[in-house]
Amino acid sequence: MPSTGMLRADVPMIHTASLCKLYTTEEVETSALNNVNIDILPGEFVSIMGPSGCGKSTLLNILGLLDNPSSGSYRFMGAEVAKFGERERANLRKRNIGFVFQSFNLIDELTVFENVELPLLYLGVSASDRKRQVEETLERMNLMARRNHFPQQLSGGQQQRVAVSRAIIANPSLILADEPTGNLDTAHGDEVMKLLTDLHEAGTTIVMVTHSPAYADYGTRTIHLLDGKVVTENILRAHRA
Amino acid sequence: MLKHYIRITIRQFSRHRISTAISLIGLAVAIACGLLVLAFVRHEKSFDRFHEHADRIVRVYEKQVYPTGDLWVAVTPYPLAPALQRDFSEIEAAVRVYYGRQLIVSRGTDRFLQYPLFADSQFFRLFSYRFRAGDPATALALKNSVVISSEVAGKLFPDENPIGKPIQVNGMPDLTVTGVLDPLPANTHLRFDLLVSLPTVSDTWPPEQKEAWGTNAFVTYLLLAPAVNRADFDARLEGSLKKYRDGQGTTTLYPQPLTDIHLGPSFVADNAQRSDPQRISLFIFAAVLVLLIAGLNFVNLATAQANLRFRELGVRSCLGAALGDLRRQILCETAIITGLASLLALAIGELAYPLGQSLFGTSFPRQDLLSLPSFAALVAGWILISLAIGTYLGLITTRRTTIRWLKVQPSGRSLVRTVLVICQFVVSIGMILVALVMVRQQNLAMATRLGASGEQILIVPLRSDDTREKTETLRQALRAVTGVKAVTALDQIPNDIENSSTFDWEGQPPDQTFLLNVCGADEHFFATFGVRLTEGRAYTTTEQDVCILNEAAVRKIGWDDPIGKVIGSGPDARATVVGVVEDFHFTSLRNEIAPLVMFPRESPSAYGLLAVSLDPNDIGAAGREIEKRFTQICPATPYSSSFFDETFARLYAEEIRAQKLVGAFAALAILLACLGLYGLAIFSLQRRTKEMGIRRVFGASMRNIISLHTREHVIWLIAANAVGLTLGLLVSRHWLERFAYRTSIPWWLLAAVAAASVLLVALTVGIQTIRAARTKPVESLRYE
Repeated sequence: MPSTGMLRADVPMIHTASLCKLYTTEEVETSALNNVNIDILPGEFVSIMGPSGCGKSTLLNILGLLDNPSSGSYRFMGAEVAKFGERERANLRKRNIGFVFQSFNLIDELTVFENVELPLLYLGVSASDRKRQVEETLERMNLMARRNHFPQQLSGGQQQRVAVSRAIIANPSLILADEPTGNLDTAHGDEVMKLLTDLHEAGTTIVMVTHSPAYADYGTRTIHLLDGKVVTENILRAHRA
Repeated sequence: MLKHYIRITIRQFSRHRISTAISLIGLAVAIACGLLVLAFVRHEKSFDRFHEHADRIVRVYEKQVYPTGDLWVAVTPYPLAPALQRDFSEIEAAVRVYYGRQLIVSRGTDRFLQYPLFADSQFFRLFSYRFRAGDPATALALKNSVVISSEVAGKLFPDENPIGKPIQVNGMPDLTVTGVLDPLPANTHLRFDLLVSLPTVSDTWPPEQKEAWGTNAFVTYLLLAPAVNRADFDARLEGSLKKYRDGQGTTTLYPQPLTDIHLGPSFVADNAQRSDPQRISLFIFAAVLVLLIAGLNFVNLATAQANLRFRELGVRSCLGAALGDLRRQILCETAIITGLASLLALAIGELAYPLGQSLFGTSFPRQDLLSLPSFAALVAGWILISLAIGTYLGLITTRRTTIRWLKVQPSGRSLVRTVLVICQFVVSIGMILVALVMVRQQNLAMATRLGASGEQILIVPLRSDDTREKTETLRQALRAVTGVKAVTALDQIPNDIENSSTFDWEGQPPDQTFLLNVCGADEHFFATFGVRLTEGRAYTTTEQDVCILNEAAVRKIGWDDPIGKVIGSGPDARATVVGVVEDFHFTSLRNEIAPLVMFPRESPSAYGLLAVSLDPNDIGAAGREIEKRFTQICPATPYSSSFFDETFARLYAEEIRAQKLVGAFAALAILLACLGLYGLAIFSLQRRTKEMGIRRVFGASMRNIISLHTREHVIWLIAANAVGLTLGLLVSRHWLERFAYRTSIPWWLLAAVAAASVLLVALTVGIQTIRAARTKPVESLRYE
């Protein structure tokens, strides 16, 4: 099992070089990512923008180790992970990355508590520690009163708060958010962005895909994609190392 | 983690209640069937193994050679057992057993009909029946001693110790009770109510009868010494009879292990409690098929459900679950549901025990159902089914990458699922066809049986000398009863005539001989059983040395004009043929109609039975009147009777059992298959509701929608019918091969099975489809 290196503020947490992703069917070959080169330092809040089909989600999936690139290099926390198998990627994911999805992706059969608890189960955390950690997080997210509710009994904003709770429960160094406000009204969207900002303030690296320029501005840097390529990068505010 | 798996499993179940119930109940019923069949098979295979020396006891049977074919006979000559014990050092003990007819056993005024067995004194050295009272070593040592069952003891000596006390058995001197047996185990091939010491009857026989090597009436059992060279022993036994018959004859002897008797081949004159080993294979096969159908249902519904769970699996994977974690989760869920099904199966098996006994036609002990081997099989089956299904589900549901799980739209179709559903219907359709062919064959047997013209025939046994002396008086008295159409006296129930003998005839070519079945009956036989004479006439009561042949006998002999010709079985036993009777089935349709000779006995008292033909509209009253008149004429003999159709049912007991069982399993199979299809239809329509909405928006009519969804079912149903009917046809034809007279399998029977399957599928999926198609498009589109 290759190990990832120590995080240093001046060494990118994420480094891609000539990253490509091709989707091939029997008749058609589609290039979703084409020579993408990006570096993201620890503690950054990067927003990825672009029109539909430009490769934002594909990039996020590769950065989140949900998928492998077709070619190119991807170094995550100092280790080359482009060729990792599913087992190694799963192992890295559960220790270092938290996910927030547009459609929340909570498990309908599990309560709020159990959904948030899930990453700790896969990390083998003891039952008493799990209980403590989940309760602390739910307290922080103002969800304790809803701990025994099932997802379908919650509002969209509450569901996304649960999803964020689940993403941060294992204290990951990176949070990947795929249009986290896409299914929410403005009030709830703002609420979720506030949560992400707080996490960033606390030192968590965040990479967020969004269509909304307003929410993109919450980040420290914006990367624009078009047809699978990085077309512009805007630094919005100085990154605190 | 296990707690988490259990929790999610329970919640999954409650979310998909219908499909879970279908899977669970289907699997439980199938496992219960398996448990019942297992208990039955264990019981059948356990026969006679409880005897201490079971592995050293053999029964001697004969092979008699005739030009028309060999006969395998379970009975042997009287002098055989002592001769073998004298000549074979390997034999520790040899015992003769003689099966008697039902006898009247009495003490004072209490009279009961009981089955006796006559046996040599060493009987209990071989057979380890448990004694409640008495000494097995001496119980049968003396003449006129009797060992009785605890049931007989309870009837005759309700409050006394029977040992040393006398009982009366008709036709014998007083017998002294020397032992009382515990109830016989259900798994013994010997059935009896009382065991009489053989000398009680054999001492009354003339010496020539006891030295007769040509008469077979005794079952010979041998207890062999340990570590006998069986090949050498068997070879010497084979030719021993010829030696005793001074080098005459071609009959040879063979040993049959005691534990093989119950499931062994059927011999002539075999009174052992036997079972058809093919029945066991059939039951196992049917249980496996039902288990297969239930298993396929489970897999089908689970894979359909898994389609709806890809998002959950994707999320778990994102949160760090490795493939192994997901597979373990699915395996665990499968193990939980199959474990629940196994527990439920125990309860169902217990409840269905009486039904199982009726279907299997055997009273296997209830404790066999919950015995240690059953539990072991249940646990082994649970682990095996869980591993097989769980691993398969784990593999097919986790073969996608994480990202495809999250993006996947559940698919409404699956080739594997379609193939599995086809397999279920193939098996069900095949089983239904086989069951229907069995019913047709049984109907053929019913239609061609004696007395098929509509009358009910009552058989009244004449069990005592007293009743037999009054045969003609009884016959006339019963004939006078209102509703009685005819009464005949005869010596065998003409459903299973087994007495046979070799005969000679006028113009017999040298070296040509065959066995003629022999039935003694008075001249009223033909009217009573509705059998027609095709040539000549019936004999009369006063005639002697006359006989009637059936057409098969005339054909076999090769006579063009049989009337007036003479046949005989020795110089003193000659009979002139006065008539020819049409061929009628006097044994099962399994056998070709064999040559038969019928003749009047020298006296009415030589018959042992009366057969009474009753008007079917007057059976109840006539039956009561017959009993009344019988009891008036023979007050000392308990009256008993049975309908001829019951003896007919006994003749076809194996076929009727098989037919009932295959019918029940076929019904269960089609029910499970339809339940599975119903569950799948719900899933499929759940997934396709939006599609229906879109089609409706763009102009599709209800009819279009229904036809679209039914078309795919029709296509696979045609395939299932093609394969299922072909397989069913092959199995049916194979099964029919055991019969000399077979029913046809008409084209309309196949069409009817196919039509019934279409109707069932249409009902199963049609209602669901109509309901879904009637949903307003706006609601369908909002569905997801």
